Amino acid sequence: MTAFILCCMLLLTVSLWHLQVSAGNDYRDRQENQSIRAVRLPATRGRILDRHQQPLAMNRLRFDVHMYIDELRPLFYTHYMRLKAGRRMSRAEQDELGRKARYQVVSNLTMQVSLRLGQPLVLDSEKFHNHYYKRRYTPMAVIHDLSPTQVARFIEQIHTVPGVGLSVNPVRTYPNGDMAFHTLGYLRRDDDPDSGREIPFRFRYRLPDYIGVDGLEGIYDGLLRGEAGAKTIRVNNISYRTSEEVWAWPESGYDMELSIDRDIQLAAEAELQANGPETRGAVVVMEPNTGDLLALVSLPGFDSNKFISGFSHAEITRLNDERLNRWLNRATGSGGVAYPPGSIFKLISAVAYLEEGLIDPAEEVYNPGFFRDQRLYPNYSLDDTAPPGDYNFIRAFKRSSNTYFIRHALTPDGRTDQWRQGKRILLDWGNRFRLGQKTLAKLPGGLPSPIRESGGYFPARGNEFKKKDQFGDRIRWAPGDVANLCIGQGEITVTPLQMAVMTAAVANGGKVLQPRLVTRVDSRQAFGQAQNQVIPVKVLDDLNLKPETVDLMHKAMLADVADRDGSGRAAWVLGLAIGGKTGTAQKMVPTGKFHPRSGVRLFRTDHITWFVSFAPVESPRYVVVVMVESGESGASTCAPIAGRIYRAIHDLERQRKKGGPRLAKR
Amino acid sequence: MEPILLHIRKLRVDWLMFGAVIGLMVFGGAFVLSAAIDQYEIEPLLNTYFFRQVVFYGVGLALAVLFVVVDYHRLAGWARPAYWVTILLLLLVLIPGIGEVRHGARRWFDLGVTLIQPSEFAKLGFIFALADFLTRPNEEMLMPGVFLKALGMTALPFILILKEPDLGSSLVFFPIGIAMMFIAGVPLRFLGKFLGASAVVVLFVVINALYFPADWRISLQEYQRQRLLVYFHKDFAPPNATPAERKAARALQRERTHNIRQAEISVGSGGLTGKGWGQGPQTRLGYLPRGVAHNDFIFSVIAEETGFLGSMAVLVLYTVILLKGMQIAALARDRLGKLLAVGVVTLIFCHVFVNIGMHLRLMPVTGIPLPLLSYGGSSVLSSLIAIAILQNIQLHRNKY
Repeated sequence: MTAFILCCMLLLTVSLWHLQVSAGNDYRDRQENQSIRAVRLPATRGRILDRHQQPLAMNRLRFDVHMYIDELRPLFYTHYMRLKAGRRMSRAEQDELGRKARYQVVSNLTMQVSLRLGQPLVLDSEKFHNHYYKRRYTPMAVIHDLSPTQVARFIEQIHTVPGVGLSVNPVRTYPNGDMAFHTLGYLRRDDDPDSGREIPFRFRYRLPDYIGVDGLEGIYDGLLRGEAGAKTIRVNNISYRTSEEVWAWPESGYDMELSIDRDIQLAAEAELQANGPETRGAVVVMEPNTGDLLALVSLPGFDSNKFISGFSHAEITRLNDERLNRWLNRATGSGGVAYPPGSIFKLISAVAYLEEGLIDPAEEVYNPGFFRDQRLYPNYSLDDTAPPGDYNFIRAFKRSSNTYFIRHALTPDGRTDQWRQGKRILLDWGNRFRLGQKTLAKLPGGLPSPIRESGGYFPARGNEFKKKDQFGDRIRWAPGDVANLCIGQGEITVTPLQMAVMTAAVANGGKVLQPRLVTRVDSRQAFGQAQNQVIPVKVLDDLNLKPETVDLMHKAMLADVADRDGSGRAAWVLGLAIGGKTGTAQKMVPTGKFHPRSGVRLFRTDHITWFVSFAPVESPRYVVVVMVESGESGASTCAPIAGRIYRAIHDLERQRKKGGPRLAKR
Repeated sequence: MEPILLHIRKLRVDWLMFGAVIGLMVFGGAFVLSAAIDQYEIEPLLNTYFFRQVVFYGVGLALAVLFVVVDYHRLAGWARPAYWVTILLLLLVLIPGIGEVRHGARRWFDLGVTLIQPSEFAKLGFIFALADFLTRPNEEMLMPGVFLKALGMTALPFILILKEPDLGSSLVFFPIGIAMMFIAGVPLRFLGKFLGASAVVVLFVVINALYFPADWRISLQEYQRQRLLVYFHKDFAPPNATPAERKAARALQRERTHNIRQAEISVGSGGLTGKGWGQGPQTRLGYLPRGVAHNDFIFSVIAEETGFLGSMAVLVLYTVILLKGMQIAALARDRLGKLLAVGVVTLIFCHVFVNIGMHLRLMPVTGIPLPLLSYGGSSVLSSLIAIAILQNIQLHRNKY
């Protein structure tokens, strides 16, 4: 019998060893799993600043009122006992009564908060019970986003209400509303439980966090977002919080400095918007020596703040208006949009002819009001918008004479058929100006390009076939296609950003620049690390233009604005020498209807109107490109907008020289 | 009386066993306190489990002294009345209005200051009565009538306690009875037949509970059946259940397995050295249900907070008591002493093995307390008296 007792004790010992020592870790995990809840702590997003450190996207403090349910347990209990009043009850009845008691207590407290804050509040019973059953270890939000007055009232009065506290969280805010919507992008609620730092617990609960979707917020989300932290909450068997421990503090994201000048951006947006409430268009303001983008405007945009605060029904309709298509970044052509340039392409044609020595700028060519050469090109003719008369280079440029440019593309000597040479020259120079390519590639430090853009379309050198038409047929080039190309129609689409680069190259004497949007990425300043990433100015190509060419181009462009008969006269600003070129391109737009008999898709003609410019002509500091969809003409729609923008910039410069208050550098 | 006290002075008490008892009481006090440490903040001291347990220890020790100094032969003279008194109490406790119901079982008398569980004392009364009954010449042991009478003495309290219902406590009577009869010299063929028959019955009951459809089930209370299902890791839902029934059965199963699952996690998560006194989250955070942590599941608390080393210490202390008890049985001067000692050792062993085995899932869940460690007056008193009887037998070994 002694032996039997010893055997049994040995059995217990072995079992204990197995349970506690061999499998001890498994049980410890199970124990922690049931008693520990991990809560993800979002990091503060980095700010996006303009070139003068003005915030374009920042974080404000949001004050929320929370109710700490675990602190209300004694109230639940006393209220429950009061309701029960000593009656005998079944288990189910007790549960139901407990539910009711909890709801009444919390509802009553919500009411008291509501009275003190002067804001009507109703506790949604479904929401409360849901929170109670799933996450009673976390505080429950009662009101979001108190106004400053309410915060003051709360702090003064609320200590009389038990279990209620104020929580402060950073929230993304865009101080200028819908300014630079496409450049900055927006955020959306992120509920992916797996993103963020490796934490050895499964997140049972995420505090609200946001992920960047579009624009800089989206492209540089990884840099801006920072590292989420985590805290663990120890809960008891009925899921009430007993203690907390921060496992890892969140690390805030990097600040980012842009080349954008907030004031110029605001002015450009205002002036473009002034064209009309439903203006679809873009403005690019660029520094022609560095490629810094001072403003990148695409209208219509939207208020980035709404993606955080939420939309009303009308706003959703507005946001998704198909006709206006607010999602497109028209300045950079995100989503593959690009536009025919029209006459502004004559900048490239002119540079090409001058550099190749095809034209004598002084030679006068007679323009009968149309282009027609019965002998050499019997199948081609085009009416000119410029009036009949004798044209030298500068007059042809400022009046935008198609005849003059087509003549030099097809038959520069006036006697022989030379369109193949014209085509070679145009394709060569178009490619030298990097048309058909994105303006920005990868940045140093492995940063992705800060903008989503399209490269437009431009045929490669030696291209034999035209782009496929709507039936998928490839057609060989004809003289008419070269004629169209030299005035910016046909086989070409571009983005306003590309046109800004082109204009800057003409302005600065032939340097094709890489545009710069992000100039600096800060490392965490709090730790004093000197690892700020500065994005350098980059010249992609130097065209080595002859000084005479550059000089003549500047003169011609100046004449376009300064002369009374110039097409860009509407952009003229007193005291600022502006060089410009207007453009009105025709674009075939599907009407959405089909021919009743043949079933062929029907098109209507739409105008893409342009104005490219730089100023001051003697030492260029600004390139302004304006594009408006469905405008009237470059001269009457875009040139006035550009003029107003220059005026605003001009005023701004003067103000800054004086050191006005809004320009105070930090 | 005088000579006995002189004996004590001559160190005739078994001090090793006494030390083990004191050790267990220290463990018991410390961890009953730890299991319900939050009570201090709400309850007056007099109502805390810890304070009451210390009082029980004191009263128990005083009673134990009484049971040590009075020669067990004189005590045995009271065996038969004591047995019948406990039977009477077991009958009384079944009467509604007299017996108190807790957790669906009528097992207690309410004395106002404390509850008394007569079944704990019935075990002692039974051991005395059976030892007294079996103290007869060897030849009589061969008579089936004696065996049957002894069996009857075992079965009577068994049936009464089964009625409370308290299957675990009632089943303890059989190992005690069998062990005492075996030591008394009842022929093995009698015992073998009985054991065989009872094995068949137990097997039938278990199979009946686990596999038979509801209409064919007999004899067991539903909660007892559920405990068997838990023990054998059986699904609560019958195989042909509808999804709704299955869901309800799952929920019930989770609820029913909650205690034992949490006990297992408590013991397992203790590891080698434990989490320290009062530091066990299982206990502190209430995962180990507060209603049972201080009594039936006190071992979980000890194992969680002191780990394998502490649990082993408890096991070693019990082993010391049991082995010393066996030694006392072997060296007892007469049959009565031997039978009493074996009965007591079997009683303590059954309690220890079933209770600790329950935590390790070697045994199904029963309401059997851990002697000296579990909170509870009846258990503490009867355990201390039982051990006092062992000391008594040791003390009066060489009287003649």
